[in-house]
Amino acid sequence: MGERDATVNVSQIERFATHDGPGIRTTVFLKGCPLHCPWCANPETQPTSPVMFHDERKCVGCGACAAACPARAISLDDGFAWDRRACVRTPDATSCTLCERACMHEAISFSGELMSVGDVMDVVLRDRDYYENSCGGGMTISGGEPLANRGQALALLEAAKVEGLNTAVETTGNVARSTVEAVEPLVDHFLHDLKHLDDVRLREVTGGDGPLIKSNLTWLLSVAPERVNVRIPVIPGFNHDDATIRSMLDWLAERGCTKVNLLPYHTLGRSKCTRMGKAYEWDEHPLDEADLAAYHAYALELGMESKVGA
Amino acid sequence: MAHKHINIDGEQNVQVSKPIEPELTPIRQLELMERYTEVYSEHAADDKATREVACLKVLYPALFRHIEDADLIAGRMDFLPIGFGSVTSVGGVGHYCVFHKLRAFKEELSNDEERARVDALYDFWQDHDTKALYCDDVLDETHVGRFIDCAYPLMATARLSGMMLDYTKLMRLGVGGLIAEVQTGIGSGRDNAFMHACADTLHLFQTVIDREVELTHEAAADAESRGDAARVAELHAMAADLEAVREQPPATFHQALQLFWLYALCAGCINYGRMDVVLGPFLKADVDAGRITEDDAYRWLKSLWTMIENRRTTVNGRIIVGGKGRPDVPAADLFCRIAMRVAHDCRYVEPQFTLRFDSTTPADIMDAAYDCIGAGATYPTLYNDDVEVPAVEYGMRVDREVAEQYVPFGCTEFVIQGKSVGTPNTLINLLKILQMSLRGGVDPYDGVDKSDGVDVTPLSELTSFEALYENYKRLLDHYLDLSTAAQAHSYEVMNHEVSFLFTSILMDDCLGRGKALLDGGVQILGGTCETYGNINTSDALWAIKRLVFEEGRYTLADLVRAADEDFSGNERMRLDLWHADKYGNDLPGVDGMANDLYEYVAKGVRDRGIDAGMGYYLIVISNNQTNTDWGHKTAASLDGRHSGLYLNPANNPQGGAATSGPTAMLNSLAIFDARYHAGSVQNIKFTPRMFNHDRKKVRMALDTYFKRGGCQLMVTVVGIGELEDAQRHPEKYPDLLVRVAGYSAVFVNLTKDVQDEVMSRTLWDE
Repeated sequence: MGERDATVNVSQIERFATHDGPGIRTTVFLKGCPLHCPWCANPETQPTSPVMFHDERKCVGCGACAAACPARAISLDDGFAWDRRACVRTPDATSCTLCERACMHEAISFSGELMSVGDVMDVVLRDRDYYENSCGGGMTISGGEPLANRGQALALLEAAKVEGLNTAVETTGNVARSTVEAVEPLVDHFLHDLKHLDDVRLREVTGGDGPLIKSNLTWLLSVAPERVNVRIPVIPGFNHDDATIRSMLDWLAERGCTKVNLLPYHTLGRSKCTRMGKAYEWDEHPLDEADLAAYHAYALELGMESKVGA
Repeated sequence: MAHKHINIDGEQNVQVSKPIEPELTPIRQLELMERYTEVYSEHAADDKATREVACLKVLYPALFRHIEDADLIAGRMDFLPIGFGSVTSVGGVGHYCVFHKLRAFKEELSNDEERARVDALYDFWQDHDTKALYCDDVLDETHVGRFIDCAYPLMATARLSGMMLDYTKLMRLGVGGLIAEVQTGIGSGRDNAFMHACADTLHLFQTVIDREVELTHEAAADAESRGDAARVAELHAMAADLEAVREQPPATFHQALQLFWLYALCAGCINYGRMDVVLGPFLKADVDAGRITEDDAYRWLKSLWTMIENRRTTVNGRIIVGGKGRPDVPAADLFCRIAMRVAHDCRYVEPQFTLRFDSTTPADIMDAAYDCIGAGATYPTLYNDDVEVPAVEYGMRVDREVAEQYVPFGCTEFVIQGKSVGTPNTLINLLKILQMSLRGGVDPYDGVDKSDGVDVTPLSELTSFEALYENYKRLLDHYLDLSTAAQAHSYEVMNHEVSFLFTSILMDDCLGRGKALLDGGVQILGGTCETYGNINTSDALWAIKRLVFEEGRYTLADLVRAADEDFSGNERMRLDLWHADKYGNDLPGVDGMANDLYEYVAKGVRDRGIDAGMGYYLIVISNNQTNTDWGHKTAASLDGRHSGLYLNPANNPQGGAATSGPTAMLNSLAIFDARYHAGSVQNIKFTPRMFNHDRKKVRMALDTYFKRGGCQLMVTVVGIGELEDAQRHPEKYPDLLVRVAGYSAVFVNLTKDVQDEVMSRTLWDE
């Protein structure tokens, strides 16, 4: 239990996370996700390998990064471009970062590093008293899909439980049932996404496996309904219509779901996509809380605790 | 001139708020200053106390202004470039001349004859201004500069800042009772010039009250001519209350308010203290008896707030409520609740409304405080009594009961209300001294050797971190010695010149001892030393330790050479220094360095104060805008800071260095043991989105910080991009308030460099 030396692939550790479960929490964002939702707020967490952020506002186009790169992975021939596959990796799979060091304008940074569970827990435990003073705060693992790598998820959750911390997992549910069953005893709160009931539409847009997600969620709701918060991201052009959301809420109510969060679509992922040199492919108008009022009312009608926003 | 004087013509205090112009005509002002000078000269051979009260009679009640239409308490006062006072914010110190203001005044006059009269005054006061006399003794060309002249590692000044008087005694005895106490003293062996001057001073105070009655009647006549019957009635009531307190102790809340206010004006006090303790019992008695409503009290306090704002002292105006050591808690809390509403609604930069709290503070008061902060008022500032009271007990070496009467003034310096002097007359730049220590004593800012005879080890011989740190401490020690001597000497010079009569009368135990404040009268003669660049210094030390002595990435000589060139051509090195671990991110190594330096300096100052015979001499970690001003004259530093850039604000990280979230920053802020300082301020900025929408969790975080030992916190709530937009379009933001350090300001009134410093601090958002 609690192997400090096990490594986890971390995108970011966010302290004082206020929307990832009850109380004050530290959220550990792990890399790698089986889905590729085009509205994703954290697109840098989708690949397991490190991701380069390039800030065009800081870049002066001097080419120092390209000159420093031993693998010629950076080109400025046609604007700034970075070839992820060509990028040189050190033995621990992180980038060599010579380009980052060559840039005097701090336009380049990398997201993603392998950390030991011990090092992650050292950070998480710095705020233990904040968790204890805040009605059930603790550690959340998020992503990416934090359960995509079962070993890493278990290592972190076990380490947290050894320390007596409250734990939460933000998951798509798009993982093997055996993984969900393995982590279930170690998790105090499942923040479980439900994006669509139509398997074809889900696969088409996000690459997700609808039957698997529904089956996992159904199972969780059957074994631990009090520990499950279902989060429905309401996305224009995808599921933002009365029939779709109502059917999802009906489906959840039938399975004993008691807590639902309706999350208005936002475009926070756009600037990250820009810095990743990636197109932001779901360019809709952000929603506000009022746009979700009817869904919220319906969830209440079904007897669920409903909240708009995380 | 017989001898060359240190030139002290220049800014002497931080002034963001624009003062209100005096009501007297320029020629009348000139006549008053001339008369003051004459009386001062006539009494040259008399006892200083006799001279002081004679001089005060020239000023009072002449300097009192007319009552304004909205005033619900009487008392507005001007000050001139020459006169008597305690602090530079409202005039000057002792018998003073503020030379640059006198020069500006000269330009207002209409002819050469009048201007020549000003020149004569200027020349005379060069030899007599209290601060000039002090500066002549203490300042030199190289090591110790005038406040504010930032080319020096140490600045020193003579002032009597932050006097918070025993107004409870004034309320208990009334003016007549105080006169009787003085007379009793004279009759029982304390028959001296000081005591007689005290009696004269109190009679002068009665003359001021009489004058205020006249002014109130004048205002009433004016209101009558306008047919404003309600205002006439109000003014008649004010006149009656003035007459009531001429001799007798106050019997009502309004009388108490009136008496307190006039006395504070006469004493030149610009920090007021525990008004809930002083005024709460009168308020509660009136409300309980149905004499007034809480709405009446609200209107009167709002008027007090306006009077305080109108004094425009920028960094002062402390009103403190709440906390331990209040004899009548329900009455004090009633005052506190109404004052909270006033602070919420006024949105003034002064008074600096301050809440002392502890684990027993009622929840509704804490809620109201956070609502007030969340509305963008920057007030109240929060002081944690569970930490501060035991800290003061140890730091000032006083018992618990005395410690419970601590009050922060100015930017945060603590005194004991009615019992101690704690003026910050010395300011030290820790970073400049580190830089000198790495260059054989030479300040890279101007190339001047400021080692002052200290044996500074050459850079090439600093072959370990320990050797480097020891070498720094040796130079630091010398400057702490200079600072202690300068602080002690400020009292000697002021005491030689003046008695501070109004102040002495309400400070323990001047009347009982028959001695003036600085002549052995005050119970606790303390003092404070403002330290600057604390965090730049510890961050720089940490970066050197890591990059040179542990990782070997650079040589010490390389770093110093590059810093001398402001890292020109060495940006990689600067970034490596800047990205070394920084205080403010809850990292034990670098935070430990900060604490080690803190304890060295704080204990060093405290021990020196004890050795010098002061009641206490403690550091304060605050800043008005001196961190920015001093930064301009401090060379590039090895924390990766560019030459000329602001120094870190108070106990906060350097702007932009905190990147690990608010809990991490709070954890760093809380590491220092409060027992070794007499006030440390920490600022935090939240967006309204985080502070108001996530209020419950933010409260939990701040509660945790306070439980961890966080002593104090000041919160600015401002939207993302709002400050940036205000800098570009000031006209759109006339009342956007920010907490600069130990003071609040309308953001657009700050100079651009100070705005930049405030903007550089991390703004925490969801």
